[in-house]
Amino acid sequence: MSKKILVVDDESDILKEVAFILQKHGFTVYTGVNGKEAIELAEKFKPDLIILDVFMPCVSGSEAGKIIKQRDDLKHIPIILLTASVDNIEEKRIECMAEDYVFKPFDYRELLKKIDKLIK
Amino acid sequence: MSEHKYREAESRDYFYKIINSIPDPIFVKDRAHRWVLLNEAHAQMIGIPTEEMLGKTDHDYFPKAQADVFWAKDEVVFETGTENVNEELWTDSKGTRHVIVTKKNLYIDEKGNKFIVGVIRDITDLKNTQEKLREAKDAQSRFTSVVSHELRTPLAAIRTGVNIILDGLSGPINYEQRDFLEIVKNNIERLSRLINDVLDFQKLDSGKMHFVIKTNDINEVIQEVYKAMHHLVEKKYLKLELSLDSQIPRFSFDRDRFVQVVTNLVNNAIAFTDKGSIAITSKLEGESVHVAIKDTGVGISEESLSRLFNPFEQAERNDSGKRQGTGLGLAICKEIILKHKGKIWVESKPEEGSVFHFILPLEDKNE
Repeated sequence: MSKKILVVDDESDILKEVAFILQKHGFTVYTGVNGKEAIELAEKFKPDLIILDVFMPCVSGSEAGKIIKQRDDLKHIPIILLTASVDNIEEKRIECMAEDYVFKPFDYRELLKKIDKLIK
Repeated sequence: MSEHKYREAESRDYFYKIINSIPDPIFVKDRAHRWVLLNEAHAQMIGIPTEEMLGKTDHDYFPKAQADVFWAKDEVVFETGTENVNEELWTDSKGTRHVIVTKKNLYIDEKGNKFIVGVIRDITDLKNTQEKLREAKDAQSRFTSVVSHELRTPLAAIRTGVNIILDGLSGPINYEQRDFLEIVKNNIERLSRLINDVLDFQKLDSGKMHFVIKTNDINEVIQEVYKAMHHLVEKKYLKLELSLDSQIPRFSFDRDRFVQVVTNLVNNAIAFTDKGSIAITSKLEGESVHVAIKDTGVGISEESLSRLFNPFEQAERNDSGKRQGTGLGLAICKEIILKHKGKIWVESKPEEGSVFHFILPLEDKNE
């Protein structure tokens, strides 16, 4: 069975591209546009991995990540943060206990490598 | 009037002329803290005529708490004879607040009487300018960081989209389409580098760059860059040679930043070399490590050499070689190396090639 990945980003273009790439690489993909949806979709689909943009309206990616990592039923799901801001990303990653991060503009092969490392 | 008296009167006039011409308030106090001499600038600052203040003390004019502070500082100067410089806030008679610096020194006359000679300077304008400068620097730093964030997001979408097509994920493309998309891709990479460089330089310049100083192996860094750059060198039919000194101990430095430094220097060497080789050497020299990147490229003119490490400067190529850099690479390398207490320099002869050297001290930088 193919692995499930939840991608959450308020930038719809990036969301579409990342979803497309992941599908082409055999993953089942769910998408959301803010932190609130990230939590809801994580509960609903129990994905194998979550890709979370850090800055989003409503509930930000880092807030959502923190909540997910505090939930006993969800905290085992690895999270990769996605961000266009290079400032304090390591602090943010530790704060929400995410496993890894990728800077925009990223090379999608770099993202795939990090996914493989976490869920293979 | 006797000749002597006349001379005395003349020199007194001369003396007052001088102290009244000085825009900084000047005062002299005797051992009982009474004002015995005040210039016009002082009268203007306090807003009370000099004649009225002479013979009085701070307690006659200022709130007790403040007068007590002045008094205590005077006493220190009287007792120790050491200069006292103090910055304080001063509200003038119109209610305007000033930042003033008061400098007090001990003077002992021929009879052994002690006096305090004080000079006050109003540094309000200087302080305001410094504050504005700091605000401007902060604003510039916020601006750069917001702009780079806003540029990166669309760039991410463009880069990923182009890669999807180029890699055939969305179906086959023909030779010509691939050719043009490669151009798009190269320019996206160039723009990304520029944004990263501008942000890095700005952070280094404003002292906001965060270094991760840990014990690392410099030869490992060089080997990592070697592996990553190997294919670029082969593309231009150049040789890339390594000569690493295994005696170099591990020492503390920011690993990622030195991958960046060495990558930058090797990248430059490749860009400016069309035939021959690029050699990277590392050597233990006393308490330092010496790394050199030598190429057999076009070299750098004497004129360019002096400006090479300045931001936004790029060495001119005499031939039609394309300029690909951001003009910030070497300025960034220099800043990173300086922050590690090292130094960087270059030797070059046009048409023969260049050698970029840097030295890093082995000392612990974790203090």
